[in-house]
Amino acid sequence: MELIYFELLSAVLFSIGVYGVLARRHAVLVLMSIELILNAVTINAVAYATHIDASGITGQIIAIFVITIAAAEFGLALAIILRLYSQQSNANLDEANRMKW
Amino acid sequence: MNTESIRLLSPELLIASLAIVVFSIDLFKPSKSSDFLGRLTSLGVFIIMIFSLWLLSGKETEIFEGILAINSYTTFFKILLMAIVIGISLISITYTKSYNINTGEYYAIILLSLVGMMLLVSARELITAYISIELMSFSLYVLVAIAKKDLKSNEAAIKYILLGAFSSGLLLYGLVLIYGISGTTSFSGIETALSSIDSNLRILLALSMIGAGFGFKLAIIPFHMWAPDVYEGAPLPITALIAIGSKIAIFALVLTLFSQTFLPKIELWKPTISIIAAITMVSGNILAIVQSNIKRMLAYSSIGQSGYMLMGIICASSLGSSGLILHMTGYAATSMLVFSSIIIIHNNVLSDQIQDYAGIAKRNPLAAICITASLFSLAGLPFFAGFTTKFYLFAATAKEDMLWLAGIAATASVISLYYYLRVIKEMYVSDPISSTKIYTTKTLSTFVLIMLAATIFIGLYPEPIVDIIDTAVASYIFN
Amino acid sequence: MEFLDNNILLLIILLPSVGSLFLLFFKDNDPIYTRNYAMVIAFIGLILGIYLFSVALSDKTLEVFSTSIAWLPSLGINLNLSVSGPTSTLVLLNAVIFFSSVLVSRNLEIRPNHFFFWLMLLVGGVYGVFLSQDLFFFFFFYELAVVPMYLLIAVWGSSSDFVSFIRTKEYGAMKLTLYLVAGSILVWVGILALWVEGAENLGKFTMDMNILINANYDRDFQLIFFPFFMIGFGILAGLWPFHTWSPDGHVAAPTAVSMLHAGVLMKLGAFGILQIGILLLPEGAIYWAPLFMGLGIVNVLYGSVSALAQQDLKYVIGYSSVSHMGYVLLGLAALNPTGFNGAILQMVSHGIMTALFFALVGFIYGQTHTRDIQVLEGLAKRMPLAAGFFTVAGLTSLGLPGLSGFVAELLIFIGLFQSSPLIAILAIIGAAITAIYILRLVSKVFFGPVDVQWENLRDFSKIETLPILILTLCIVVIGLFPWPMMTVINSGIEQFIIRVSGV
Repeated sequence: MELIYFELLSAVLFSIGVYGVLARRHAVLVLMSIELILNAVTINAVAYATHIDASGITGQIIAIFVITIAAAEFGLALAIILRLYSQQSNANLDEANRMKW
Repeated sequence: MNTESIRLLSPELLIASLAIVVFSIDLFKPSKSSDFLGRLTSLGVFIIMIFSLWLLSGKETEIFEGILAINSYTTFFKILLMAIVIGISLISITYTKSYNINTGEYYAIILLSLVGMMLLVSARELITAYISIELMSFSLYVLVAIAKKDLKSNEAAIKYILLGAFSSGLLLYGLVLIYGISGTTSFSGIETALSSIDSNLRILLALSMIGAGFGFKLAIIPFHMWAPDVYEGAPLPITALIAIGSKIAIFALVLTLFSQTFLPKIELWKPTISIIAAITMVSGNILAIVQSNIKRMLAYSSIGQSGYMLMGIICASSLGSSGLILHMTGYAATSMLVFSSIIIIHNNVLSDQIQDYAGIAKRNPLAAICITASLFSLAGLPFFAGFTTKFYLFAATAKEDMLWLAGIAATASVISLYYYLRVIKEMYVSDPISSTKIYTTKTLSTFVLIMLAATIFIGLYPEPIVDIIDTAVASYIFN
Repeated sequence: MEFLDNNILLLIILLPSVGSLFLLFFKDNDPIYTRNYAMVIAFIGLILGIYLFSVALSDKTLEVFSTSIAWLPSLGINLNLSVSGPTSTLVLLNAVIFFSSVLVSRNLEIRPNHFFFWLMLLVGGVYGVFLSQDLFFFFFFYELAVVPMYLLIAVWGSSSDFVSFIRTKEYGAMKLTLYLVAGSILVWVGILALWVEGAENLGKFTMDMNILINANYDRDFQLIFFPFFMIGFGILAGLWPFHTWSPDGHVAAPTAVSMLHAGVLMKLGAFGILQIGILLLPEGAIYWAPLFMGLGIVNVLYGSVSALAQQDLKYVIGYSSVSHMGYVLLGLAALNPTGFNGAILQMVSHGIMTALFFALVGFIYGQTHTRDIQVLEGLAKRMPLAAGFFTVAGLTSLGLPGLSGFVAELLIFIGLFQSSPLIAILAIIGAAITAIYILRLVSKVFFGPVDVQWENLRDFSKIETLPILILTLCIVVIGLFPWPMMTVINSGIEQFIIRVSGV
C-alpha cells in the first residue's frame, strides 16, 4: 500500500483527537481524545518504518514506546481524575474553575 | 553497550538509586521521614554533583552509540539542574511539614524528575528526548497533585496533566513526522536530511507541531493557559521546580534542536518564533499586572521570561546561545531567591495574596530585602543578575539585526517593573497586618543569603560563568 | 600615592556603593550611628573630589587617573574610568551635595540604615555615570542611580494633601520611576545600536566610547539614533513635555533625596546627551539641534510660568528646576564652546542652588508643617538665618551678578546669541519671569507682618547651619571667582567642539 493512505488515516485520527480535546468537557473523554492522537502517531511511526526507514525497525520501537508511555500516562491521569471526581462528584472540567486568570 | 557508557551515565543512575533509597527509607522507617529525608536528598545530590564534576569535566564524547552526548554543554546543564534540585529540597523541608505532605514520595519523585531533566539535556535522538520529557513531566504531574487535601492542588494537577498529555501528543506527532521525512531519529542524521530536502510543506507541518508541543511545555503564549493555574495550585517548591528546572532543561534541548538540527530550515521557523517571542514577553508582562496572587504574578512573569529566552533561540548564533544560557543561569539564581523568600513568608502567613505582604519589611527585613533584590533582578535592574544577563541577551539579539525585538524586550521589562514595584510597595510602605515578627529556620535564611550572593555575583562579575558557557557552546552547538 | 592615583576613580565609585552594603548589617534603630557612618563616607568622597578638582586645576594631566579593568571581553565591555575637566567638576558637585544631604537628614524615624543604603547606592551610581568611558557601565550606573529613587520616595517621602486633590508619595515615586525607566529603554536601544553598528564599522566588539568615536557612523544612522538619546536622557533632564514626573517626584521626596535628585541626578540626563549623544553622534546633534533648542526654550518658559502659578513651596522649586534645566539644554543645543561651558557651569550652579532651596524648604516644613505660600508669612522675624540663605538662593536663581547663576546664564545667553539670537531673547525673557516668581515668593514668605501662628518657630541651630553654609559658600565663591572653575571646565570641552565642528 502507498504511504499516503497511512498518513491520511493518521491525519484524520489526529484531527478527531484534537477536536475532541478542544470540544469535550468530560475529563475521561478528553483523555480518550488524547489517546486518539497517540494512536495517530503510532500508525505514522509504523508506516514510516516500513516505507522510509532503511533499517525498518526504529518506527516500530517508537510505536512500542508510545504505547507503553501512553499506558503510564493514562494510569496517572485517571488517578487524578478520580480525585477530582471524589471532590466535585463529577469529572466535568468546566466545574474545575476555582482558579481564574 | 559498554562499560564506559555506563560509567559516564553514573550520575543519572546514582540519582535514580538515591530516589529508591529515599523511597525505601520512607517505606521501612516512616518515623524518620520529615526533616531527615529533605536533608538526605540535598546532601545526596550534592555529593553526586561533586562526583559528576570530577567524572564529567573535560569529557567530550557520545555514549550508547550516539544516543546521549557527554560534553561541557550537557555537563554545565546537569550541574546547574542538580544545584537547582538541591535548593528545591532545602526549601521544601519546612514547607512539607506545614502541608502534611508525604515526604518519602515527594523527594523521591523530585529526584526522578531530575533524572528526566538530566537525560533531556544530553539527548541526541528523538525517542530518548521524548522519553526524558515524559519522565520529567510525569514526575511533575504527581508532584503538583501531591498536596492531597488541597483542592487547588488537585485542580491544577488535572489541568496540567490533560494539557501536558495533549502537548506531548502534538510534540510526538511532530517528531514522528520528522522521522518520516528523514528516515532516522538521530539529531545529526536529521540535520543532514533536512539540508538536502527541498519540499518545505511537510517540514513546516512537523516544525509547527514540535513548536506547539514545546510551546506548551515552556508556557509560551498562546500555549500558556495552564501555567498560571498550575503555578498557583502546586506546592510552592514544586512551582519553583516547574518554573526553573523544567524550563531550563527543555530550553537546553530546544536550543540544541533549533540551533543545530533544524538550522538548515531556519527560514521556516525564525520569523514565526520572533513574533511569538515578542507577543509572549509583552502580553505575559501585561497580564501579570492584574494579578493579586503572587504565584500567579510570578507565573506570568515567568511566561514573559520565556519570551526573552526565545530571543536566544532565534539568534541562532554562538553569542545568542551564550546569552540564553547566561540568562537562564541568572534566572535560576534569581528565581530560587524569590521562591525561597516567598516560602519564608508563606510558612508563617500561609497566604499567597499580595495584599498579605503588607509591611513584611517590618516583620522580616531579610525576606523583604531578598524579594526586592530578586524582583529588581527579574526586572533587569543593575547590581543584580538580571541586568547583566538581559544586556548580554539583548545585545546578542541586536547583533543579529533584530534591534526591534530587543527594543520590545526592553519595553516589556519596564512593564514588568511596574507590577514588581507594587509588591515592593506593599512590603515596604503599607502597614503590617500583624506586628509579630516572622522567624525562619537557619537553613532557609542561609540558603536565601547564598542565593542573594549568587544573584549579585552574576550581576557584577559574570566573566567566569561566561567563560564556562562560551566553552560549552563552542564544544557542542557552534563549533 | 601612585597606587592611590591609579585607583582613585574606582575608589570614588566603590566607597558609597560597596560601603552601603555594610549598612544592611546595622541596627534598625540607631539613626545617629548610621548617619555618622554615612557622613564619614560622604566626607572621604568630598576629600577625594576636592583632590581630583585640585589636580585638574593645576596644570597636571588627568590621564594618570584613568583605569581599565577587563570585565566581559567577549562583548567588548571593560570598566574604563577616566576623568576630564568637566567631569571632575561634576564629581565635586556630587560630593558636595551628598555630604550636605547627609548632614541635613537628621530626623529619620524608620529604618535609617536602609535609607542610607539606598541613598549611597544612588550616589555611587551618579559617580559611576560621570566617570565611565564605557557604554555598558555608563548605562549600568545610570540605572543604578535611578532605581533606589522609588523606595527612597515611597518609604521615606511625604504625601501632600491639597485642597482639591491628594498626591500620595507612592504616586510620585511610581510616576518618577516609570518615566525614568521608560527613558532608559530608549537609551538602552540606542546603546545597542551604537554597539552593533560600531562593531560593523570597526570590525570588533567594543563599548569603549573613546574607540567608538572613530566608528564613522553614517549620517542616516546618526539622524535616526540621536533622538533616542536626546529623549531618553532628556526625560531625566526634565525635557518638556516629559518633565511632569519631576515636580511630583520632588514634592513627594524627603529633603535629602530632593537635594540629590534635583541637584545631581537631573544633571545625569544632560550629561548623557553631551557625553553620548553629542560626542558619538555629532551629525545627528546638528540635525536635531533646532528641535532640541525649541524644546529647551519651552522648558525655560513653561517651567517659569508654571512656577509662577504654584502655591506650594516645593512645587515652585520643582518647576524652577524644570526651567533651569532648560537653560542647560539650551546651552548644549547651542553646540558651541561658550554654550557647552555655560551648560556645565549651569549644572553646577543649579545643582548647588536647588540643593540649598530644598534643604531650606525641608527645614521650614519641619518647623511649620506646611508648604503653602498662602499660609506662610513673615518668617524672617522668627528665622532670620533661613530667610537670608533663602534670599541668596533666590538671587542666584534669578541670576544676580556676583552669584554663580549669573556667570552660567550669561555664558549660555552668549552661546545662544551666536547660534540663534531669537531663542536667546526668549531665554532672557524666561530669566525675567524667574525674577518675578522668586521675588514674589521671598517677599510673601519671609517679609511682611508675621502671622501669630508662627510666633514659636526657631531658627537654625549651629549644627544645622553647616550644610546650608557649605552650599551658600559654593554659590558665592563660584559667583565671585568663576575663573578657576571655568578653566577646569574649558579644558575638557575641546573634544566635543572638535566633534561638532569637524562635520
